[in-house]
Amino acid sequence: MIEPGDLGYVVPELIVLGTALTLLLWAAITRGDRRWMSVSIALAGNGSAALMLFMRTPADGAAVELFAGQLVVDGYSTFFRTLFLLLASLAIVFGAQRFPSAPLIDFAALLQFSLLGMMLLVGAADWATAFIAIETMAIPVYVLVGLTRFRRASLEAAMKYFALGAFASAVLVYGIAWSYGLTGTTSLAETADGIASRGDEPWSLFALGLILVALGFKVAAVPFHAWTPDAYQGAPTPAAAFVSVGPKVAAMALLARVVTLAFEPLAANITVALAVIAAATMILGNLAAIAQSDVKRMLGYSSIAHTGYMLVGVAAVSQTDAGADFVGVPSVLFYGFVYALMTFGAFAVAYVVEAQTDSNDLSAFRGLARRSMLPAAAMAVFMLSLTGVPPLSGFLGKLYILQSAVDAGLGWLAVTLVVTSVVSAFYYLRVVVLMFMEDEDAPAAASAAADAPAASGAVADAHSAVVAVTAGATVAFGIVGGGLLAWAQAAVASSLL
Amino acid sequence: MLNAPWIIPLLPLAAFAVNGLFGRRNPRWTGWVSTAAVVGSFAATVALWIASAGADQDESLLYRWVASGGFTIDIAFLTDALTIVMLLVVTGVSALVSLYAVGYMDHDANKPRFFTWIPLFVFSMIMLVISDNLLQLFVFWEMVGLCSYLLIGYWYDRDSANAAATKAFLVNRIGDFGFAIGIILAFLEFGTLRYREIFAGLGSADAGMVTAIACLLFVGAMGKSAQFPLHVWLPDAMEGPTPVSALIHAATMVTAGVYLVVRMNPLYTQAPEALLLVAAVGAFTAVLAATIALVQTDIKRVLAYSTVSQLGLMFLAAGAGAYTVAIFHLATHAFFKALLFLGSGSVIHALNDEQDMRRMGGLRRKLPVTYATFILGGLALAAVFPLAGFWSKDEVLAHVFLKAAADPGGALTADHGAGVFWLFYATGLTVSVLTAFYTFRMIVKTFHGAPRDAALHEHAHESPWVMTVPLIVLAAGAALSGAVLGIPPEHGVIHGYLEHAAGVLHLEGAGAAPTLILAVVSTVAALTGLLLALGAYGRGLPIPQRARALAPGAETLFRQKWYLDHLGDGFMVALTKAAAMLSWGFDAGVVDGIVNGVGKLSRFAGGQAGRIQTGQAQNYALLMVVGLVLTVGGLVLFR
Amino acid sequence: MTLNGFLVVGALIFSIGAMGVLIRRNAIVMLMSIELMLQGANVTLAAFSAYLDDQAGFVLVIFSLTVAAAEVAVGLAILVALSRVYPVVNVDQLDSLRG
Repeated sequence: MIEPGDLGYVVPELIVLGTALTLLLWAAITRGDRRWMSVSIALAGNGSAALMLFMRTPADGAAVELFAGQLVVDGYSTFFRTLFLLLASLAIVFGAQRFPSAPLIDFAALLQFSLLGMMLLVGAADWATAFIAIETMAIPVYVLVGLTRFRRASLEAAMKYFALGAFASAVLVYGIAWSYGLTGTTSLAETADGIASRGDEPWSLFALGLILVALGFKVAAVPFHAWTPDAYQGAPTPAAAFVSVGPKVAAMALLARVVTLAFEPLAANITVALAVIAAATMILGNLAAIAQSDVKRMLGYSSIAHTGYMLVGVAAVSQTDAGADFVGVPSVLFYGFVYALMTFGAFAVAYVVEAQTDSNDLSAFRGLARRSMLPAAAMAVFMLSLTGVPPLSGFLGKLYILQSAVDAGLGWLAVTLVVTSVVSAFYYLRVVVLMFMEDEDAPAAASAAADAPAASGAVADAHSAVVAVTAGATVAFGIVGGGLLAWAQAAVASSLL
Repeated sequence: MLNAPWIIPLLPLAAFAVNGLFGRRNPRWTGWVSTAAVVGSFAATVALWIASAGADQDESLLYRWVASGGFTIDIAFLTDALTIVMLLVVTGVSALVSLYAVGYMDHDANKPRFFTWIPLFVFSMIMLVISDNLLQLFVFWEMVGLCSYLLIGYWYDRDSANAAATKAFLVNRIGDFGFAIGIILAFLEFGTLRYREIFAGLGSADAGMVTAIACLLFVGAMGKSAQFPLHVWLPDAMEGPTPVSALIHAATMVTAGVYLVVRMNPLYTQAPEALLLVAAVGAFTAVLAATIALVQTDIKRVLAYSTVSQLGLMFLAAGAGAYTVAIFHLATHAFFKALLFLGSGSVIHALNDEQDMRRMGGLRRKLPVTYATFILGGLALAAVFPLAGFWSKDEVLAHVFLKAAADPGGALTADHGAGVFWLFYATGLTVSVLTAFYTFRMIVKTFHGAPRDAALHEHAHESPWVMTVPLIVLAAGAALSGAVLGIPPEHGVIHGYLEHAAGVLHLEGAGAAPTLILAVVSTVAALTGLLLALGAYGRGLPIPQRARALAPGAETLFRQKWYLDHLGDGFMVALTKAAAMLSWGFDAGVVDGIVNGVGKLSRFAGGQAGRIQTGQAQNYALLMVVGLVLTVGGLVLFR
Repeated sequence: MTLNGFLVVGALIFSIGAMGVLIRRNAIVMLMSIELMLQGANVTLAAFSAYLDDQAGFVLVIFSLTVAAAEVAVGLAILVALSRVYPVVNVDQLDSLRG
């Protein structure tokens, strides 16, 4: 039953919620330039939430169930909540570079609401919590995508993302309804018992299929991916950066929990389905990315491809029941973490170029190394890491995922991963070549100087810090990846999986 | 704490970071930062050496980078006697060269760049020799290659420098390709890349496989250590600044191949055919390069071919199974060859970058310190008693002789071609004569006689102390290191010390009398060459003319470098084109070439994939419904 | 009525909604179709809840209705903003982002 002490474990979430509400109030009662204040409130909130997160972690490392089994606080959720607090903090700094005062405060508030949903989602132990959390995460994100409400592309992207997202939500509720009807429970853990007693009868698989499709939409797996490139291209760049990493990784976390917990008895069926989806996702994402000329759209397809890599890990998880072992879930956690940082960083550099040239076209990267060395060097790190070049973190992530796949007997999927990664080098390295080996178009550079929005020094420095932090982490987790992996392993070992 | 091995690579790495980050703002200090770091490294090596005296070996895992199931990638230190000897040579010579370069590069506008790459090279070289596994060795093998490439092309505004850098890079790719395959085969055969585990697994390994691995690893060594036919890059590498030639292309990096063979000696001992290949390539390269050195007019090129020749002798020693001797010669060679290069640098510096010996002459009064030290280095190279080269080269020849004598039948027998070693011994003696000859031809032409270019001679001046001090220290090493390390022959300090290294063997000595006789023979050979050179170039005796009459065409053959460069250049042109196709695949003109396969097809497929993306939300929803039907249907059908 | 009857009705409503999303070009009607899908799911939930004599399903229905309301509010807001910039009636006009 609900204990008063339960609230103590959700202090981080309460702080995030409080920050969001404070920002809304602040927007209502003040005038003038409130950028500084919005960033400060959000950062202070997220910082103290992170602090509380570690202070309230259960001492013995065991999973604690809260609110009558609705929510669970375990190492698994702490791992992801830490990542999300970090990403949201980076996103708000990024947003301060892009938005004037009024939209920024909206941006910050929406970001905090979405963050709240993500933090609850990774701790969801019941379908009711999972559903509410997934919507709390998604609805603010639709608005974030359409936040520049005088740009047609932004609103078009928001409209498509919203319509398809709502469609996927309906599929999710329908799947939950069937899962509930078949097992008589909405608890994830008890669902497993109910499914186990029924075996792989068609209706169980029907419910599973609906839920996989809905989550497949959230993580942007083929063929439920089509919204991704449109949404990223149309969204204002800070929103695209956040959407490409936050909700996707959160949904991936829920997917891994569903696969290893609620539908664990159907692991063999899940592996086949996810392996096929993963292969299609890797192939289509990487191939379509090659044809792109808009950097945000390219990163959209790139993020689809990386969904495929993570799904390989999830598919492997359901094959081997040793979830706490080296392989499987920890490799997905590791990949999610490093993927989020490097993709976010790539969007941050894309914005640097956007601010200089007012263009998201890949040709705007021409000669970036001559203009601005730090963003160019950081972008090279991100691109090489996304390709999977050692010793960067993307390489380690792929290595661990590969190991999981091979150990699970999914050799063909591992081969697909390697081959599609080689193909991906084609479009990632093209950016590096453009930045370092080609001269910029003179007219573009001239117009850039004239049109560049005047960002104040502190804000621009803060944005450089975002780029530097993500690039540094991408390098560092490649070189000292063992620590992050050990954390992921410990997180999985002490989780409700 | 002081003898912790990690300090040794850390200091140069720190110097690399400092000079790389702040060098451009404070160019004056970069040289001193580099020198201080490398001297510190040398001191730490000495401390380690003293602390480890008597201990067999010490392995320490520095960092386990990847631990993924049964597969691990480690950065680990193996500090046995062999490593420490190599470390002493590397850090010692590097420290002196770095100090020397402070003076030599003083007026260069880009010296922060120079003093960024030098510590990076030293770091990589240390990590190479300190590694306990083949993978780490390979990574830093590539790193030193990269530094070499960057430093050969240091004066990037010279076309010849760029061409030389590219040539070095490409030729080394051939060697590294073989090396990489060898490493992969080793992993497949032994399931590990750690030396110790490989050696432990030798007993149960397939003999053919071991031979293949040994040969492939040697291909890598041939590239790095410039052995025929992959030697063509090293003479061109003299386009780099002279301290680079002394450090990388004489004393340290090019000896990495010798180190590799010695390090893997238990493997080679199991593969006699591979050892024979090592000896044959070494002997042939030694004589080939020595003949070419006879006719060179560029002072640095004489030294470059001499280096190739001496490296050949080291491989000959290793191929004869005398691994300790190979390392002994490596150490003494590092001293006197670095000395000769730095001395030539001092001359070049004094003559405003003139390298042609035909425009030198009579410099011994102008450059007394350089002259004195250069003479010592030359005598050491010529292997004149009692200087360093004498002790080590004499042992090389003695071991080849003993190897040959071990099989009096003289045929290719079970001892795998011991008979051939008579030929190798004769080759070695010939090389001794030639070495002494070209060395003193060079000395006489440079320092003696009348100045051939009055204007240059007029402005010649002795170098500053930062340049002469390293010369003096190296001269002391060149004079004494052989005697200190190698007396008594076969049982000197270095022999006893290297006994501790894992599996390093040397043949039993044959007693004092044969050793003495062999020493006299090789001394006579060296003195013959020396006197011939003095006679020909000092006294003007018509020796070269008679030689021409005796063997017409030989000079042309040598001048044309046995036509190998022509062959090589044709090959290089083809290779360069191929490499250009590969590396610049993004260039529009080449997209039709190599990238055709991946690029066009993927672009086409990508375009097709994009066609799904109509931009219409309802089509996306339809796609989702199709996916839904397929997923649910597939799950139910294939349950 | 048996459980199966309710389930069939729920499935029909869900399918009709899905067909509406695919076929009807008008943006407002498309949003309504999505609502229909949600209601189909709600009917299913309520039917199971009644059949199992368990409260959890009803609770989920309430949640789902609430969320649907929030969702529609956001959807309509986006549509209004869109129609200010660009007069849109049909969703198939929104195809500037593609490829």
